[in-house]
Amino acid sequence: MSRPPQSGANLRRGSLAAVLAVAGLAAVAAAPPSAQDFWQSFKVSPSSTLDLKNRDGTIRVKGRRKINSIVISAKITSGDARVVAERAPDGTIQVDAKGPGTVNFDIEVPESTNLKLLSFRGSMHISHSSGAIKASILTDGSIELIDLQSPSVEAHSANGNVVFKGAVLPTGRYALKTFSGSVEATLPASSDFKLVAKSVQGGMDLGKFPLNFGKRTNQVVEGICGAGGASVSLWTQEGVIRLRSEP
Amino acid sequence: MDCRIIVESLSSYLDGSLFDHEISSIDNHLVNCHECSAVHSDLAQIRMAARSLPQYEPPSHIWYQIRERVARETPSIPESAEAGKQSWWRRIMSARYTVTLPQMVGAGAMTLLVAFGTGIVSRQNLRRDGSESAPPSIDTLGMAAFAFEQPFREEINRKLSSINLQKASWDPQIREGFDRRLLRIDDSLKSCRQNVLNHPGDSDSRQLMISLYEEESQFLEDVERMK
Repeated sequence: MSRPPQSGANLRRGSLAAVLAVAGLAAVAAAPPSAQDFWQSFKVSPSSTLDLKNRDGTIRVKGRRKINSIVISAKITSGDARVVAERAPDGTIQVDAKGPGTVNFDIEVPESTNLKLLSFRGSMHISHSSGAIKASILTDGSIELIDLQSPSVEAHSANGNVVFKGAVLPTGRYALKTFSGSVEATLPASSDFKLVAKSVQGGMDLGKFPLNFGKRTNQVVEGICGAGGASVSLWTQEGVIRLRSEP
Repeated sequence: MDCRIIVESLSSYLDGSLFDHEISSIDNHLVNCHECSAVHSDLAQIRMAARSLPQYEPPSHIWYQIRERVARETPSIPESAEAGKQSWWRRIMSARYTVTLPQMVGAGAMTLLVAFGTGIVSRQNLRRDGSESAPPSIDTLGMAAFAFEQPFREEINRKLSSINLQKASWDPQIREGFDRRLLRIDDSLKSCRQNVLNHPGDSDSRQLMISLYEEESQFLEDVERMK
């Protein structure tokens, strides 16, 4: 069956639509990147707390010297999520991603800010912090804690690696746990700490720390390095534990 | 230690009224003896359920009436020489008892409670959310457990009962992730429990079980926070 011949008017309308479509696409491509979906800043004291809950997405928190604000940027990449941030009566900055969807957070905090981060799924990256940290991922996602000077760290993922690189303070407590991932802790070679490491199925590599072992089996290791002091607890059900020293 | 002696001592064991060495020998026995461990578990459940019942203060006139009744009836009991020789069982059986309606209701409730508690423990496939048709991913508390697991299980049960009320309103993806996570922890617990059964002297498996319970407890706490 042959197509009926197009009239001149139809051809002109078709050409005009095509030109408009191309122009529209060009305009979109040339536009500056869209603004963040959420941005808010709070003036805070040095020992304030950030309490963040997310359902799905990445959370990046970076500690900075000489700033006195928590600056929250968030991008909603899918779903109908919305971000609510407010100051609680005790001064805690509470951030909550409500509703289904993926939200990626990028947050700057004074380096001594205490962090309480909880996510159902998605990775967390925390760097340059000297506050107390509690980071939990309830299902899938890894946690990276880099360049820390924190007195207390609790990092916990269900299915993902937990990586810690930083100092352990003499009375500090550090608990790194994952069910189905590996735990990797890199500490200064001169660190003093008590170690409890438990790996059920994956094994352990405890590096070159001069540990004085109280107990050493395939699955459970208890030992003291130097004068003890800090408490380091590493646990994984299915992954490997790696303890590294750096000069 | 004899199972009979253990079972007789369990009530004091749960009351915390035994000496340290008695506690540790019962602990050791419970680790190795499945039957006694099950009885201990039953007792602990019943005590817990009884603790949650509301307490009623009886009206003051009840005590007055009891004292009156005792005073009235005491002289009528024959003080024959035979009475002293009667067995305790015969004395109990021949005594006259008056039971008030609240006492009967209380006794009935207690009987039901014991039956219910025993039923709970013996049901191997009890589902955490109370539904028989729920997937096995949420099955832990119906399993036989060691004495040292009891406090963890109680805590987890308490947290789960409040979470299960909310679960229906979660989006399916989150619900699926939640169940999957519990299933994995449960599987690991089962495997560790089997290790403890096979090697009772292996303290590692016990420690790892405790770590798993802490993991589960932390998980449920985080889920509660997430709400």
